[in-house]
Amino acid sequence: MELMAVAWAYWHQFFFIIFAGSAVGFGCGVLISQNIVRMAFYLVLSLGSTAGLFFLAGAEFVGAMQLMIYVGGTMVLLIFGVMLTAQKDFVNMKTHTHDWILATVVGGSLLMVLLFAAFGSEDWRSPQDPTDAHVVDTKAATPLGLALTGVRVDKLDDTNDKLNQGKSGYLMPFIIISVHLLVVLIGAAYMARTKKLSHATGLRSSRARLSVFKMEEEDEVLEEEKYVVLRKDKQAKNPLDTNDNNTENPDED
Amino acid sequence: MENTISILLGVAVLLPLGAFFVNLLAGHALRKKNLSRVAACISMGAIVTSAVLSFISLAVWLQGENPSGKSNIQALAELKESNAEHLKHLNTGFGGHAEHAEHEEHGAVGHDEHQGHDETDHDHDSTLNSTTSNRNEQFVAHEDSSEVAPETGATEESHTQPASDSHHGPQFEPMSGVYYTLGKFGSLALTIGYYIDSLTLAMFCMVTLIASLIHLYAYKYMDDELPSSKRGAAVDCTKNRFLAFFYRFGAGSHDDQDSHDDHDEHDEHDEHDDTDGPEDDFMFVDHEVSMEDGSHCHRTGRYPRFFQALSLFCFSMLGLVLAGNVAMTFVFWELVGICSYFLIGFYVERKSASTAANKAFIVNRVGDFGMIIGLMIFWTGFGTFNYGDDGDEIGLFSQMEGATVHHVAAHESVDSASVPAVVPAKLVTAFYEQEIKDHKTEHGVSTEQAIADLQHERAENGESPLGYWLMIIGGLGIFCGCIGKSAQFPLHVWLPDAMEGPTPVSALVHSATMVAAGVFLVGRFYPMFVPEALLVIAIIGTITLFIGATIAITANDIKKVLAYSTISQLGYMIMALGAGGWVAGLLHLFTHAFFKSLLFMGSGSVIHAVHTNDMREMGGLRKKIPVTAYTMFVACLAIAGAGIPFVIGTSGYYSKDSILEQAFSWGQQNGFAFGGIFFWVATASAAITAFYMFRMWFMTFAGKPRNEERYSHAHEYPNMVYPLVILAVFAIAVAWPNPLHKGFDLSTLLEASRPATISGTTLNGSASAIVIPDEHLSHMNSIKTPVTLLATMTGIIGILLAAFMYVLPGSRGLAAAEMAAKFKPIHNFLLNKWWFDELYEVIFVKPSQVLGSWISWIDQNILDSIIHFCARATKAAARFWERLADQIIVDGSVNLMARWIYQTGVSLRRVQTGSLRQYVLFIVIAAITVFILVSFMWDPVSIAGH
Amino acid sequence: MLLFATVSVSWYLAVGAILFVLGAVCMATKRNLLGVLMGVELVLNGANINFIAFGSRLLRSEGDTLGLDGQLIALFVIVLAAAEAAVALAIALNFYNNHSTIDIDRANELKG
Repeated sequence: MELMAVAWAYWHQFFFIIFAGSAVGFGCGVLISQNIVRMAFYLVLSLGSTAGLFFLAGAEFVGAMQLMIYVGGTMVLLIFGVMLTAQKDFVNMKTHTHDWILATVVGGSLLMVLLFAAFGSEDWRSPQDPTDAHVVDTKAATPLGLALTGVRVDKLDDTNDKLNQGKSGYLMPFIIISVHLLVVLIGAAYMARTKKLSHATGLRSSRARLSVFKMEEEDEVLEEEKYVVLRKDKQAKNPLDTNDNNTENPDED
Repeated sequence: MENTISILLGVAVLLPLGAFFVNLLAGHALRKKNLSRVAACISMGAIVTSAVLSFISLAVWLQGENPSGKSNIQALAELKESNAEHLKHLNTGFGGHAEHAEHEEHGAVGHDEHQGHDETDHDHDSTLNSTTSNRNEQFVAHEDSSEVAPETGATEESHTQPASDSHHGPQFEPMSGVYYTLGKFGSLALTIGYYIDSLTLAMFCMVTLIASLIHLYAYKYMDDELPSSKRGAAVDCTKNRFLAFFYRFGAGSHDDQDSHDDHDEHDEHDEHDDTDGPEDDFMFVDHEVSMEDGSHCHRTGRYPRFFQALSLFCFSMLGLVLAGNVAMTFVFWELVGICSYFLIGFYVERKSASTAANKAFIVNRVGDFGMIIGLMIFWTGFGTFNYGDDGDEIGLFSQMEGATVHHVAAHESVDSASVPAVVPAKLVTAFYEQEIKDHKTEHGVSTEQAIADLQHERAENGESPLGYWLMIIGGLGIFCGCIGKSAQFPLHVWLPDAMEGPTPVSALVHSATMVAAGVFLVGRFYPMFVPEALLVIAIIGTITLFIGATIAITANDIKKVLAYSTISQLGYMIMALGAGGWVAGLLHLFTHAFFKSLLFMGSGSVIHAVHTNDMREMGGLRKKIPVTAYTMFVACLAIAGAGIPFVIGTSGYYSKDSILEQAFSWGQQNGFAFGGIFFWVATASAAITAFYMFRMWFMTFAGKPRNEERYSHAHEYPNMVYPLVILAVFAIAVAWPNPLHKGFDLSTLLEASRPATISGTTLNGSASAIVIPDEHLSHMNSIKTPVTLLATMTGIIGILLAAFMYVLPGSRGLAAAEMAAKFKPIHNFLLNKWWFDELYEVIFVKPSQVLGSWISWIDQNILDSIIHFCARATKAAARFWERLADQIIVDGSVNLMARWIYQTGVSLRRVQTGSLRQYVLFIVIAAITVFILVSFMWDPVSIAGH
Repeated sequence: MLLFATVSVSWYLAVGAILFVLGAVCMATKRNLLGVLMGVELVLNGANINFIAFGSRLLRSEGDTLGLDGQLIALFVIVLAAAEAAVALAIALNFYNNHSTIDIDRANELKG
């Protein structure tokens, strides 16, 4: 019973260690794993753990957003990508050892630097009273939303001069991000569309092409042909061509 | 008057120069446009205008003022009269009264000077007047004594005779001045100046007249140089109204029909000969030049160039005549030489012609070497080049005159009719400074006194005066130039070869003008020659006339005969001048110009008719070309000096007789028995002259034709014949006294320019016993009568001998060959021109060639080797340096820099691996670096504090 | 003893740093393009943790914390990460379609 009470007293650290450990651990798993599918799964778990960390820190809205957008959206997108491209040869790709060493060294040095920075500031190391955790009211969703519309309700009675500079709200970035998202979506959709092919090669879809040309030398030829094809595609006014295109469209996916 | 005449004559000199330039610049274009005749017209226009200007100048001079107050033409008349009077005195007073007459002359000299001094209203200070006034100022006392001296001669005639009755008659002052000063170098002023007296004017008239006639002659003669379409068609002379007279007179009537046919055939034959196919309309076929493949040389015609050279020659000759100082004379001397070179070498493609041109110029230059020495002596001694006075500067002649007169006035014992040759004080001071200074310091006297003392000393010791030998050498130096130019022995070898030029050239240059330039210079420079120099001149003249005459009797080429005849006649002139016959020599110059150019033009007409120079192919041509034949006959008479003794004669009669008279007088005065060597050689040569001239005439024009084909085609052209007729008139009449206006004739005109130093005086040599007699003495009856008879006799002997040998038919006709065989060695010697050419070849030509080959060997092997070595060394050094500096250093550094940059770029390029993963690493490393840098450099506390 | 020390900002920063480095190394070593994208997600995640840590009232006193700003920034980062992931995926698919390979070592045409 005391153990439980003690454990409960240190719940912040406990959960922190769990979430941090899983985040880091799954992150390492992403790093180490060779299989792209496994990597994707590990990443999902890591992101989820991060969301837990967010909850721990009192940013429940962000944590929820993390889970929804990141895990539920971005990762799904990645997994779709994996699905589309993870053919036989590309599922497992080994990295050379020297690359590993180089990356480890560089990453290690960056880690050193960052940890030094993280633990270097006195301000950030000072502990808080854990009991304060119960007291703090961290309802953040409404202020966040209102801040996005331009009203900073959390700073209404803020007297600190320095922080008064941010009282105007995040309406502008919100709008920008919206437009940005729109543009990105359109762009991504356009970029990822399937390309039309001409009569000459007789190959219609990337998959078919892929099945035929696997060897690296043939890649070059394909690229040249593709180049030719693309150019011809741009110039083609031949009704026969368009006819073909028209007839082909239903077949394409 | 002086300005007018100087400008007129100056323009007359420059007109042919203008024609030369026009022809030079436009000649080629004219030739291309087939307008070559225009070039001839330009030249002819220029020289005819010059002739007109010369005659106008003569007229102006005649109308001009004489120092005695009258016009010159009146003065001439008076001069003639006074000379006649004096002659009468001499003839009547022969013997005892001779001295008396001479004393009279002495008095007259003083009076003349007085008179001349009073009348000074001329455009500029006359030479005579200024020196006269000087003398008058200095020697006033002596003038009195000069008047006293005649009184001691105890004559009953008054001494104060008016100037018009004096022996000397009116004085004619020469005009001298400067057109333009080229530069003044210390005391030497180089000027373009003039010296005009009646001799100048007469020379101008003669030269321009003959040159105009030559131009007219050459207009037709040089037809070969034109395309055949432009050549004048052969003319039937019988249809020419003027010439038909001669034909009726000369040609036999039975030849008329034949001559018609011959003309027609000749026309066709002529054109066929000269054309070479329709496309070679412009070609001149030179049959004397054969090319490598055996054919004859074909070249384009050079008609304008001939007239261009001829114009330049006229300019040079006229400039020489007009020249007012010795330097200018020398310049024109050379110009005349180079024109002669161009003209002799006109047929450039013929080796003989170009060699002859070289020979002429080089031999001339040998003479010019002596001339330069003479020039230098005279300039050092006299301080000026000018003949006449120019303002303050006293010219050469005045200095000599002044010295003579001074000497005469200073020495009472000296008789003005027979003066010694003296040395002007200036020359003594110029060359003998040391002696004068010594004498001055020794005796403490003035310079003039010192000079007088020194000369006195030397005279007492029997030596020639101080500086006398310099005068001799100087005079001989100038004469050297004349030897070269006038083809005297030993430099006569160029004149026969000069016949390679076209005949108009021979007629103008080598008979009348250029070769006469030497004689003209002797005449002009006469006051500066001392009697010893004149003796040498006479000797050389005599040798020359003998050589020329003897060689001419064996010559077979018609032009060569005339060439040697020219040499001989020039020798006559030179001998006459050397013996003291100033007027005689120059008169012969004028008359010789006329009849020799007539002879040459006639021979040109003959050559044009029969297309050969060789007299052995001619004969009987007087029927075919009568005008030429009879004008040449007139000329032969003139050169032989034919005339009716004591009545009238051809021009040659007068001039040759006066030469012989002077030679005789010289011999007499110098103590030789009855004439002396000069006279006898000259008379013998007169006989030879008559002989060879008529030999030439008979061989060419008389007897039977020796070559039927040439005979049948012979005919003459009016253009070539008109000048002959005009010249024949002159050849007869140029020395006649003028019936219309007494005194206006050639000999009086020349008399008017007689230098004052020999005006009525006999010159005694101061280094020897040579005496140059006064020319007037030679006209005395005691000399004139025997000489005239002798001369006429020799002439007749010569003509008869020639007739015997060459005209009489039958066995006599072969006498020439017989005579030649009999006197074979002499004939051979003469035929080979006294072996002069071979002698010179051995003495001068071969050694020069050997020397030349040695030097050439040095040049080619040694000098060239040095230079080639230098060149190679430079090339090697350049190559080495180029390799080192340019290739290694410069290129190397540039290339090195480029390589570094490239390699840097290449190495930097390797950063772009294209590998995304490495880019990521780089980002990380960069982040680390920035972080570290910032952490060390950026102090957040201080920034946050602001 | 880790269990008994108070959780401070530094801990979160450390976790964020580790995730960041892991992501960076993942980007540097994976040959699969999608693996690289996963690394990108990890990096962004680490950054988000940092922001949240600074904005958390539980970890820092009222005066020092970023407050809502930190959370807002984290929100924006998430959105941008999503957008960026979409575009990157489109590029990856294009690359795959053109070259028939997903190996980024083959994408070195821009090699200098």
